[in-house]
Amino acid sequence: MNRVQGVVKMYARDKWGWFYLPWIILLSSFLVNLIIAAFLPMDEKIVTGGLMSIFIYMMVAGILSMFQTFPFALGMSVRRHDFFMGTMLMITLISIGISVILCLLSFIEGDVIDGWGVRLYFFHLPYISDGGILSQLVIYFSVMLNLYMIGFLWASLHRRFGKSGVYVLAIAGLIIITLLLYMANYFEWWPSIRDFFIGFTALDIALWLLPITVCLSVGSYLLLRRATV
Amino acid sequence: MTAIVEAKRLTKVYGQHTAVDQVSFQIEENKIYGLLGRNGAGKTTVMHMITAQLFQTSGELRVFGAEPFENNEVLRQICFIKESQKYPDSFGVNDVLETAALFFPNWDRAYANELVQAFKLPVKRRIKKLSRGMLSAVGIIVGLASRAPLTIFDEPYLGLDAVARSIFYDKLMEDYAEHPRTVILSTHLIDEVSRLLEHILVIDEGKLLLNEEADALRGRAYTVTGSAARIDSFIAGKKVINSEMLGNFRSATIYGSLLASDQKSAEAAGLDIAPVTIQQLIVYLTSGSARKEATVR
Repeated sequence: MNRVQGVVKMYARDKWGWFYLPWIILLSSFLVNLIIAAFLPMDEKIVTGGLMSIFIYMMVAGILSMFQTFPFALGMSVRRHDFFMGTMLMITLISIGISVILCLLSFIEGDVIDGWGVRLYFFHLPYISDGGILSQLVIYFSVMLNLYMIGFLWASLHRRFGKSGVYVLAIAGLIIITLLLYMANYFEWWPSIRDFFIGFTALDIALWLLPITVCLSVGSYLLLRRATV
Repeated sequence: MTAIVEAKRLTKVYGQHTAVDQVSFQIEENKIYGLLGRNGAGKTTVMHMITAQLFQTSGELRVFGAEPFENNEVLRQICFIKESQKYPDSFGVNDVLETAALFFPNWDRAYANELVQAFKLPVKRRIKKLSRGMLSAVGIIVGLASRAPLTIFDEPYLGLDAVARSIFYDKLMEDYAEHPRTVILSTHLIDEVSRLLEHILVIDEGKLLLNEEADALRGRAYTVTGSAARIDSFIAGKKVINSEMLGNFRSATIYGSLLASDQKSAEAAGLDIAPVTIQQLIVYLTSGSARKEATVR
């Protein structure tokens, strides 16, 4: 039995957490929006950011896999490398699956039942859906993977260096961000920052996100290799 | 005899605190070991290092002839059951057993089911909702049904009642007879398990205090009781690890095997001789005052 596959199968046993809960969260958000859109006497388009909920959920899933599944996997005599590879394989498959379904829903919302008949745009969003269905697929996949890895890296840091490691990084990060914000204000960087990003499509950004995600992934592997339970 | 585990001057330091201090020992194939000692003595740390869940500060450790860290050839042969094992929140008992089947090559599903019946475990129930005793039973089932060549139980029966504990001992002996393997059992209930143990390692304050065959240990100490004056002359020059006064009577526990000549002189002096159980012996050896006394004399 290949132990990396074993890790994927171990994750997949949690059907609730991987297959049901993300959709329950997303669809309840969608349903609320749909009801509001149906009863709102407005002719304007309603565009909401409710789609974010499933992405945020992925970040939480990243934290939980490290907190709950890592100690269990080690207890099952799984080595850290196989746990990591299995986790990466699982999250890649999940991200592809979710992205495909989201694109399908976006296609229905955009082209089949326009705005679900109530001019609600929940899945078919401006900017993100601009580049067509394939680019949308890449965007969803890349963002989802990235958020998962942020959660996973964060939890790996906690696993490796404990609470103090997380605090040190959080405080250092806050200081750096605050400094950068002050500098941006002082040197009036904002217009050029806006101009810089305006030149990119959502697909460009999603593609740039991929190498960043790989770096996060390598970082968490290095932390995980020396992590103890 | 093949050495399954070989530790040489194994040391683990946490900041100022040395949890395991230059411990050297060998674990041989197909024997049942008892790893005994008080709370915080370093037993759990040693077991975590054997299974590569913790890293040693210094010293050498070989398990199945190789470094255990990130080594599948070694790790797949080990099953480590510990009291503090965490499980994913969403997992039920059957999820844990099915996952164990994925990772332990010798996993016996039928045997696992038989054990589930014996411990009356609700397979559908989530791990989170189990009582402490049931949680321990899950670990025991994984430990037994995995049939790992090296199976380590660290305090496996927190919250288990006497009946369930005796089921565990019986099943362990039964299965050990049919499928010999190396077992390390760490526990406080020394009297209960001493009949199972073939070899005993005692760790105290991070140091290896004792590394003996259980049979040799059973005759390692004895207690003499009698009038104080006669006891005093009897114990002169002997290593006394415990002594108690009761009126004119004195009872002294002597570390060392009982020689025929001593037995004769004790009988002549009207002194009673009683064997010391392994549990008593270990209590004497690891409780601070007795240890001091033993070194003073």
